[in-house]
Amino acid sequence: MKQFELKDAFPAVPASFERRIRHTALEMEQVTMKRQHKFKVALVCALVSVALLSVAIAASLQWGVLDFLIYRDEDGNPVGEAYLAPMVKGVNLLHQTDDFSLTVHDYICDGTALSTAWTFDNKSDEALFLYHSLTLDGKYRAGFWMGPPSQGYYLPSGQSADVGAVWTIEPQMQAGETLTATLEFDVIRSKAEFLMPEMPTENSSQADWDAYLASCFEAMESDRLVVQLRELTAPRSMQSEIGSDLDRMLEAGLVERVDQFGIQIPITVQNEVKSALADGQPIQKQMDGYVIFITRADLYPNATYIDLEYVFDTEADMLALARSRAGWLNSENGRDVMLGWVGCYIGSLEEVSKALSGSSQAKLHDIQLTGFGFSTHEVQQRRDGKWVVSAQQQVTPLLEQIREITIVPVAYERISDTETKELFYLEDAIQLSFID
Amino acid sequence: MNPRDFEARIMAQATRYYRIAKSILGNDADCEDAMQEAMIKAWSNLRKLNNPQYFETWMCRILINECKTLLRRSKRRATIALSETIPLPEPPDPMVWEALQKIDIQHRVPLTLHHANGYTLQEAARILNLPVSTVKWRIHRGKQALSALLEKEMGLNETV
Repeated sequence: MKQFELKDAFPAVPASFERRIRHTALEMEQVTMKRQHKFKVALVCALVSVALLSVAIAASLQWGVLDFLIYRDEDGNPVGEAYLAPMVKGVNLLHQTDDFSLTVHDYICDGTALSTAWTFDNKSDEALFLYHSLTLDGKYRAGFWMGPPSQGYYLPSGQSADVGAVWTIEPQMQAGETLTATLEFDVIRSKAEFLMPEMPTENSSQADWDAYLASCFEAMESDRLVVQLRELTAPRSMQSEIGSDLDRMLEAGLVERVDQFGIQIPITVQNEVKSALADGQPIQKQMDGYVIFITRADLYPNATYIDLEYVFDTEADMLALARSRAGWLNSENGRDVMLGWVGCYIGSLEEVSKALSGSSQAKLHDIQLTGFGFSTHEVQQRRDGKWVVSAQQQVTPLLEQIREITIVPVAYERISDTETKELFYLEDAIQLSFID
Repeated sequence: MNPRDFEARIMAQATRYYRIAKSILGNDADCEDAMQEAMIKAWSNLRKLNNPQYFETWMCRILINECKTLLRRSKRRATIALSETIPLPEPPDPMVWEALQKIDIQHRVPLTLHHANGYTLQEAARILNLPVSTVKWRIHRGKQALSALLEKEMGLNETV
């Protein structure tokens, strides 16, 4: 009898897979920026009817956060500008020396995220590199969401760069709260010769980006510094000792610091949180064998937060639903319940129904909730004996002004060994309205 | 951890990551996309990894989640057949691969982690965020299903 090894079921790792790993490592921070260009919708907030004329004028005269955040659809039409404009706060903070000037223009802070824009003007005779980071005072921490490479930004002599970045804020802040954000900058000059592969533009094709990243990778094999995705990288031969950490490059004498400074930005949070819960009370809907509770449904300018709970009278009810709704996603013990998907779509029940049934050509935007589907959810038995399956909250960017979200239970029916069919339980759909 | 170290640690386990993605997604293009997304998420959330010695298992979990997300999205859109101009490498034992693809994904993934990638039961449980007993049971069911398929096709004895 022929024997087999499970490892033999898999082909060798394709060269393209390894290449993708290398390219991704090279462009990790730049991919975030590319996603900003490809999926700029991630930064766009819901629309609000009022727009401040003064802000609109300012945006047209100089670089600002609106220029960075506004998404343009396929037809070039701006999306989200009217909603964001009232939240822009101008600061116009300047730091300058004989070699350069840096102006922080404005910001938007909705309590969940802070976005800001600045212009760096290189007045010196040499290329400069700008490194930045953000710190928040008090108990708040800034994560990194989108923007230029966090490590650096290359600027040739005599040129200016308009830069924008978005950071998440943890924990969330409330409207009216204030804090001080400090943008910290390092301005660096290279002391050694460097290579700089020609960087594609934001409209370049994926093939152009792949070719660029491949050339960066090859250039790194040289003994010179490489300007890689706008930041300096030490030669490969030195990376085992110093990596490409800026401080270590400074210690090694590869670069020198021109200036190091911080710009403090006084921040006031402005947001319009809309909740679909009347008076904060959970929305509940009786289903066959269980009750769905929506314990949170908040619409922030930058994000949507929805918390769901399935509540069952008995464990048997919970397992029965898992088997009936999840199709081939069935449970094997009481702690491993998979209830199938819950689709969460932007739009009214009518709009969503038509889109799901294919009777409408309108595009269906879904909001993906974590905690449902293949992963196990959090399953708990409460003191009252009921069983609760809860979903993790999910932050998701908005595409346009949202008035309604429809939650539709979804399951999969196995058609064959490799095919499944989606089943939408529209009769059990829940509609969340965020209309004032 | 700097980007070079990050890349080095990922590359060191490239075979394992590829097998995991392949067992879930099947086609190499999706595997690459999932790997890229997983790397980006891992890098963005590196500060949340409290114990660096668990980097590989943590990375596996992120990758599995990305594969499942990709699988979920691909079910909602029509797939377009692409003509392959570059021949893809064949597995040494295509029949085992075909059979593996037919068993339930719940069993296929832990089976791949344990028997194809060499993770211990405890490591696989940590990756999948499941109890060890559940992982053992799923591997057992996966082996039963795989053996049954192969015996039916070729009359093979299972040796894994």
